[in-house]
Amino acid sequence: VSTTAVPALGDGTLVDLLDRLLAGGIVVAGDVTLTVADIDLVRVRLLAVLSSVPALAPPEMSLEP
Amino acid sequence: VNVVAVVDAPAPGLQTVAVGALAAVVDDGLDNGDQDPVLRHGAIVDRVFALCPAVLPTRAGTRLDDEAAVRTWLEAERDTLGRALDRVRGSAELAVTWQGPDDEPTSPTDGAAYLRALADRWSGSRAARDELEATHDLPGVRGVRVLAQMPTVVKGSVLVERDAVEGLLDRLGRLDPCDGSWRTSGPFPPYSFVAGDQ
Repeated sequence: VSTTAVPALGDGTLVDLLDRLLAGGIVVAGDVTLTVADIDLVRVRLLAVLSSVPALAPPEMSLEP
Repeated sequence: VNVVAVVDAPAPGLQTVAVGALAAVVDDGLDNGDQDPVLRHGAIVDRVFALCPAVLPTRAGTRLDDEAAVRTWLEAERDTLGRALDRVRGSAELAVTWQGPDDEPTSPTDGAAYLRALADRWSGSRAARDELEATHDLPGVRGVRVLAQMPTVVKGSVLVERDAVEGLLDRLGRLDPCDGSWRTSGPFPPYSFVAGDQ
């Protein structure tokens, strides 16, 4: 997350907002091209979810006491 | 197509793809580089939250191939989305965080002392968690979720009817400190209540 265009919120509010925006993870899309000697060999279209383990783990894997 | 939120009563001015009463709020500008995409996602969700009584924010960056794919997804998830919209209708989320004392326990001298110190480290956060969960009985509260619990921190969210937010913020300011302190912020769109019971 870059530091551009940060909304005018109090520190605690911004932290809590980001906490919620990122809690379930974010989706990252992109293309990866593997190239050898200027020859494109493999092109991969990525659609990945980046998240903490607890956010995606089933309830029985909870780390809470 | 970037999908930002789902609503069932889209307000004029929102860019949506609709199937029956359900509508996905979409945005073509998430990749324009002028603004951080996550914060832009949050800003659009905030706008939708201000205009619509029931909002389900999607995971930031959620993208489908085209509008036809959005319609297919809305059709397939119609029942689940409908139940979720009913769950959050007319409500907002408040963030509630307990911060316990940071002092580290003294080095234990034997096994029993070690176990006692370990139990003591959690006692404050257990009490704080109980205090947070008890807010479920306060006027206007429709749900409480504990998002994280550690020895010195408890993070949670309270789903509250929008017209009861002010009263609840006042009440949350009088929670038992449980040897620590509480901080509240919001109201936010109901990010933590999109999924069903966990």
